[in-house]
Amino acid sequence: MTVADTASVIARERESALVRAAFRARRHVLLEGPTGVGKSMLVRELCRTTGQQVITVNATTTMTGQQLLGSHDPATVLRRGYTDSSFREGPLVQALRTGAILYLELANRLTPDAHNVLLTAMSDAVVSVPRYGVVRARDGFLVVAAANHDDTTGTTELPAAFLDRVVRIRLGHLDAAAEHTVVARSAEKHLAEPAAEQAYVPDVVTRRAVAATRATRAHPDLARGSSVRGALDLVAVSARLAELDGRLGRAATETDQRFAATLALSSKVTLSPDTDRDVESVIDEIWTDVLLAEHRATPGDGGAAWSGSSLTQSSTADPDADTAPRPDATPNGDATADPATAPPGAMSASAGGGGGQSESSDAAPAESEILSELAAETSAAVADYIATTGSTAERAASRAAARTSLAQATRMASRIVLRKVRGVRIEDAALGRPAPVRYNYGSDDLDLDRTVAELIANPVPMPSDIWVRDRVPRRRGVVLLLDVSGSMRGEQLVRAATATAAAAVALHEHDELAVIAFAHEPVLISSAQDRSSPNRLVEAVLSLRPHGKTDIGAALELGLTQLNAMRSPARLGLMLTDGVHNCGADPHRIAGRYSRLNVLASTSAAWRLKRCRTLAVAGHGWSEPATAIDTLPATLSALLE
Amino acid sequence: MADSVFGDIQLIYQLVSKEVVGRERQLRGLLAVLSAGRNMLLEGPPGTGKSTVLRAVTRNCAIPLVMIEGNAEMTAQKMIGYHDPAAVLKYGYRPDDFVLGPLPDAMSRGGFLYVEEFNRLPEDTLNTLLTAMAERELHIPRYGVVQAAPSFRVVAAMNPFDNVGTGRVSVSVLDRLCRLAIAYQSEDEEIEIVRRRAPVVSEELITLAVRIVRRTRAHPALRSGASVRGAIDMVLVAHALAELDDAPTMTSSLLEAAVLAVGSKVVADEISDRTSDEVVREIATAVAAEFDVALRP
Repeated sequence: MTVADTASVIARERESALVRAAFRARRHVLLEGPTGVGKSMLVRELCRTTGQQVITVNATTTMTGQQLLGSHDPATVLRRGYTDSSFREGPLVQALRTGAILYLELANRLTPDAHNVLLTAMSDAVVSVPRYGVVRARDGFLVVAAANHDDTTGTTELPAAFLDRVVRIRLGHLDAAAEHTVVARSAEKHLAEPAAEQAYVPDVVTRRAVAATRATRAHPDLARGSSVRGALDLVAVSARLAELDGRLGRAATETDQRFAATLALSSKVTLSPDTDRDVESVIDEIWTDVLLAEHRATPGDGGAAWSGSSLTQSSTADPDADTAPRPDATPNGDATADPATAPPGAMSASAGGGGGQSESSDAAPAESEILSELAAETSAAVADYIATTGSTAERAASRAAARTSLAQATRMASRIVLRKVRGVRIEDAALGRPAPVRYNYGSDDLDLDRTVAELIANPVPMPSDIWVRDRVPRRRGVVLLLDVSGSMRGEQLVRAATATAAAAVALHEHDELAVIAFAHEPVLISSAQDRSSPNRLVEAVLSLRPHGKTDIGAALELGLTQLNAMRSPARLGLMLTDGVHNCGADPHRIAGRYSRLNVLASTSAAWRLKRCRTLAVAGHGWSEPATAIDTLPATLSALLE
Repeated sequence: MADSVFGDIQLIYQLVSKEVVGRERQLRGLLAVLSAGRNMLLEGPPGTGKSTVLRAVTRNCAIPLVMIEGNAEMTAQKMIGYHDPAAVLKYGYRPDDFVLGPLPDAMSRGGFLYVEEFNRLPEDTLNTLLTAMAERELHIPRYGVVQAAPSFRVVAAMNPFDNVGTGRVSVSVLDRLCRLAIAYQSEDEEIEIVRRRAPVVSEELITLAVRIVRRTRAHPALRSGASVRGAIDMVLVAHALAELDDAPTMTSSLLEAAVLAVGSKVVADEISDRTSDEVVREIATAVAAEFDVALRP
């Protein structure tokens, strides 16, 4: 148990009451909330006070239904066959039999297989275990699941059937006073340890830690802020930094407190995709703001020994300092000297430069002339995209490029698109989930249970009778259909380019990808046999000059011919469109000939979304909205399943 | 004096800083975080001394260092360990026949589990780490519970610029880590590092090699540059080439040595039409000219 866990549940009276009510009413519970907010602590504490046993399961993406139920001991089976005595209970069967709470952490990682087993237990209070028998729930059995929706890696949406069977209780972050109590209590516990007598955590550090942590949740450059663990870590680490300095019984130096903030908080926050600042500079800025606020709140008090220099250097980036573009490849961090000699503000000076501040004064009149000279709407959209999303270096280079050629600007934009897409986590579906397969001189992760079952049936095995666990890559053939018609051409084009990049990056060497762009006519950008690089594909899309009406049917026809020429076993069409066609044949009939057609809906209008859905349903697929460029890659990769 | 489960951290700091070049700030941060009972994420390009510092720390704390590399093959099963299959068939699942994987091994012996390329670990493997970090215990089916000794820590290392085959790490895991960005050392520090690894080489050659390698990090045609390992390899190869060719100076074979040693350690930009070898050659030629050094053509 960590120090944090030994603190009793603070300020969760309402949520505790809700959970207790759910228990009394024999309802299963889903606790939802960001990480570090106290979900498992709440459950454990409740069960401790009621004396009910808790069986904890950390859901993993490979947890099978069988692991939840249990399995037979192979040696016993070989000697005596499948009997009651050979069965080893899994956590679900154990909870059912003893009437305990089954606590599922990270429930949104469970496989569908595991969910199915759970659902039976939850709705009928009974499970049937093959070669064992029926297990009925004893009074008191309940499932409590904890899910964390910050966590988009390796997770799936909880199935509707599951949500139907639970009572959902949301836990948000505590208020400032409560978080302060949590951190202060943990510091006390820390002091209670004999070895930590000298570890001194003054209240001022606790206050700053809580303030800084809370500030990370509201900062414009951060998409996700830190949980209270950030404050807990800050306080503990700063105490140790003080020890290293021999500052027994005193707070860490100002510099060290700032260092502790970076150490504790920089991993627990997520940068917004629109910023090109690094996380250290954001934390640094937040810390300075906290000190400033403290200073304002206590006028006349010399306050903590932060110097005036840190104020000027670490607030908004000094415009003069930001003339030269910062090279992208070099990581920021250790440029300044030993903090003991440098003034406190020095670290922020190196960290603050090159931030995402726009250079409004730099838009010289010549630029708009050049852009209008290029005439085509497309190039303006491209230059615009670079101007708003590129880094300082790219913007400068783009202005230079705009004078030379559209091709250069297009190349640059394609690089930005690819970089943004690669920065986003795309589930590597082609790698496959680990699954049991027959041994084929590849993986040697023995699946013992399955092998034993095989050996019982076949006592003289061949190598192929051995079962191992391996990732099974599924070869896929995909045709990407991009709607580039309509009025919002520039934006539409960038969306299409992002979708292309996302598809190219998500698919693997052995997959096949064909790309078709269409307006009133479909254009084959690349066939599967071409095997174009992601770069070329994105550039090609950005070089299109779309206009005119939308003929979805014709595009679907061309897509089908491409799919039929592919050799992968799993073939699907993926269309990016707003759902409206205004010329050509009815696309629904043609969609019906697809074995799977998924639709990325680039619209938020309800009636258009409906059109997209009907189209997808006709193609035996489904539709997902995808208007924001940032979420497009993740949505697209989900539709590639 | 400053007591923790690792002993006197002030003393450890002094001992380690003698062994390692530079890195005072990183060392303080690392020792503060680990002795506060937290786990650490070291983020930075390869060759910046992460494992060097860790080895020095564990040696001076007298605790084991278990190193593993994150890649698709590191499954959860490999991380946790396995039952000896032959024994299972004979006797069933007995705890004695279980071979501990690197995670429970580090936990039970109270060592550091150092995971390189952390962001390449598959999801399920990261999950097992999460449990160990959060609960400080690991339930192994048909074996039992492994408790973590007080000095057990997870130290993760990753290169944030390496986008091939990696993904963002789950927030549940990141929430339980403290983080330190580790950048390349200063020029003087890198020269000292090379000097320590290649004592027979001339000062001039060392300076040249370090200068060349540092230039690869900010070159517009290169997406990522080389670490100090490139400089170490370069001087050792140049030295060997000079001996083979019976050349008067070691610097004459600099171009060849640079391409051999550094060519694979840099990545050319997607848009540039030059290969990494060509760019390295260009850099080496430029640096040699600045130093007025005669090169073999």
